[in-house]
Amino acid sequence: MDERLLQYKDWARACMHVRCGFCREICPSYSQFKLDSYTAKGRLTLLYHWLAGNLEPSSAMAQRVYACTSCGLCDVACGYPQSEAIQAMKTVLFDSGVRPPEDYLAISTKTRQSGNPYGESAAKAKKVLRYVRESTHHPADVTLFFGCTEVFRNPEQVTSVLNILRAANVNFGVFPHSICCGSPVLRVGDLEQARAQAEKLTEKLEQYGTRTVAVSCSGCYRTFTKDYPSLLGRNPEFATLHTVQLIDQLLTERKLALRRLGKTITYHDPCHLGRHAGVYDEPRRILKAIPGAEFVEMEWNQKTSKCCGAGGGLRVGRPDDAVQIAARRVQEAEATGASVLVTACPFCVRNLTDGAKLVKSSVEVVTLESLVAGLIIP
Amino acid sequence: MTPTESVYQALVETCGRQYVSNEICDRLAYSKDYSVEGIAADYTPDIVVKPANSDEVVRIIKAANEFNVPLYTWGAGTSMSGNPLAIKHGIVLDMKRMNRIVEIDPDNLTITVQAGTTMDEVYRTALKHNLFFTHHPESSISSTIGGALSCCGISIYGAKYGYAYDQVLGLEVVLGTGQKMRIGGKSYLSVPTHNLLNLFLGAEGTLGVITEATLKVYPVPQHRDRMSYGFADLTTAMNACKRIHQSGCWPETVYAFDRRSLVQYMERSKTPIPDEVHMAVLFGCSGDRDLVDKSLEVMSRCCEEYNGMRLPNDVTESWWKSVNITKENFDQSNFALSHTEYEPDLIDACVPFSRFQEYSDFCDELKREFGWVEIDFGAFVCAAPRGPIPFCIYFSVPIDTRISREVDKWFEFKERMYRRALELGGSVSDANGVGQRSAPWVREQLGPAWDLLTSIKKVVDPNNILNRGNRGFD
Repeated sequence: MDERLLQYKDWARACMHVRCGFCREICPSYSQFKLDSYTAKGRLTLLYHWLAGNLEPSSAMAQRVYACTSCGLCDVACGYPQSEAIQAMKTVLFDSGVRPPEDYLAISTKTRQSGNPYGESAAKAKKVLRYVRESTHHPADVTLFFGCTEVFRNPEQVTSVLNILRAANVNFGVFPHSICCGSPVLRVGDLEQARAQAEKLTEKLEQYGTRTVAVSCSGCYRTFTKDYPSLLGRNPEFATLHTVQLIDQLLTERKLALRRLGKTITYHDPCHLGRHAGVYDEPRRILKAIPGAEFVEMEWNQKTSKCCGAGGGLRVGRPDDAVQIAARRVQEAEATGASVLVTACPFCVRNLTDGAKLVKSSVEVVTLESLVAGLIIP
Repeated sequence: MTPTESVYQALVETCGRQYVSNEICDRLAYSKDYSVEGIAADYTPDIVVKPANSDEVVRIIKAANEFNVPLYTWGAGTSMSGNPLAIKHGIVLDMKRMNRIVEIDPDNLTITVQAGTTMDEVYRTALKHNLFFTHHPESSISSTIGGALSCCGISIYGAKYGYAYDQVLGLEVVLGTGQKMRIGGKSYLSVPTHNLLNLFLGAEGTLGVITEATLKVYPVPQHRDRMSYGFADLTTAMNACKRIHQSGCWPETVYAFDRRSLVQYMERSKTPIPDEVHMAVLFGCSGDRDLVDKSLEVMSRCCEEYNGMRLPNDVTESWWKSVNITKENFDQSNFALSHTEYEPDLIDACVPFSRFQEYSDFCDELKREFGWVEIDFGAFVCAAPRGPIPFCIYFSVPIDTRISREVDKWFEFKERMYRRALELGGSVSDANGVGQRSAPWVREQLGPAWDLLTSIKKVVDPNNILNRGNRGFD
């Protein structure tokens, strides 16, 4: 049996035996698919029987394992890294040829073919990044790195981030290449390609000699800060900041001034940024600093924030289900009375936007960067 | 087609393909509860079905009757007695999709919910309406109302508000025949004649499936505070509890743990416990601040009359957080803190109050005989219902289930413990469910009443569809 799974053997047995079920009601996947096999406990039970030789891996098992959004809320309840064990199941299933359902597999296939999970061309990326004047500005204090989702699906986010940093007179450059950080392939278990992406991107970024890379994608942020050390076998030579940390700093140093916003706003913690990386305070400080805005918390926030449903490849693998999960999160935002739902991840903003459309919600879903960019006093 | 295939088709027609599964990956997730009994044999069901409403439950039970396939009602599977296990395989009826809050009635202090609603959901929904739902076991964020009413279990607020079945005003149940009925109502004591509610409360679904419950709620107390005291031994601690009852104080929480149990509950917080504490009691009070303050003051005096030692606040708070599990602190739970070296099980026989110490000493001797002395699992005592005098002493036992001999020893150990309880004038108890754990001694204890019980079961479940082979039934 694969060593990558054997390390969880004792735990899988303990979880199979002790049925506290604290990971169940909070699980985005269970909230959608409704059977206990779609909870962390259910997946660890499958792992127990797999390791005990009672259960052969199958496409049905892969469906249940791949439906995990990797949000990690189960880890908070459990005290044991359930999501890490489930991630190992994904990786071993992928490598053993019991592949995930076809749609998930597209993430891997397209990244292997084109270098990004959307299968987009390098020429398209150039169109977004080439005309940015800071793309030739190296080395700089901060190098902005834009992820695939921003470049190919939400180029307005690129503009928002640029406008904020320009307004604050930050000495920054823009990484002119679009190379996927490896997060999407990693989440669907394609460790080999994730490592290849990490090595390629790190080499290029390090060539720029930058000490600090800033990203506005929480997936990229988590991957740089939490996954690169193990993927690369070393720490990257650069530090990574999320743009919410940068903006928080700029506001504290009074390098940015924001105009009034007479609205009630709430914040959705991206799992990659909040629970996985512990960045909770900075986005809240920013939102509370907007004059005239009232900040309210959703019922499930910070370490217990509910997932938007896009994680772990679910948005690509089972898009209708991912959007229905997002719709429930939007309804939670509605219940606060907020008219604006702010988040800090391009995956979350896309999925929550589609979730809001699904339930015809009037809540406006925006990234924190686009909200701030629209409020800058020149 | 086999009966299993036929009933599967009928269930798909009733609930839709999405909510019925005969896939092994789904069935395995329902093959084990929180009990050691659950690993003694293969209890994997053939089919899992997840109904949306009580009409679907009716159709499922009728189909199970038609094809003579047994049916096992499943809440959250947190039972420590093996009561939801599919002993004869067949169908697991997962109730958790029926999780709707049907009605909140603040004027009449009731909340009506579907049986698959988690207790935390009921608790939090009631709070939003400034109402307090009081049945609050450690498993609240996971376990369901239907599970609690069927299997009982303890509550941190039980000393003041009573036991799981004390919270019920009315039930909707579907009998083993598929007949649906409502018993009780929204008025207190909606019992025109014999209290038929008691046929279904604590019955683990053997006579009918609880599908909806009308429950009591209370005005939310304005203030809540707590303290804990250490005592030299169990008897002294119990005497202090009696003295508190005499004083007129009416705490909502009375949990007494021996040192080993307390160590176990401090595991996540790593709070140190003073060396001289052998038995400790957590007392909690609620109400207006002056009443709470005065109650704690009087209760302190009572404890000190028995040389009780006030425990540091951090012990009290860690203890409270480890048992008061809500959405805000579920990462503090001891209940969820599993270990890879052993699985806990429970002895919950009731013995007379005056024999607690004797029974506890017997348990310690027996643990020594069985070689279970090195690990922090001990006795704990709870008060409910009602008032500060505890009603039952439980013993946690850690079993290293990796070793099959240890699992066998558990069965030998519990036999000795239950037999001793009966010798002491005690009883097998459904305080935490009966299921597979204490069922072997039920017939013996009931005597002729067992015939009455099986006669009743024949009327409401003539084909023995419900929980076949469990809780002592054939």
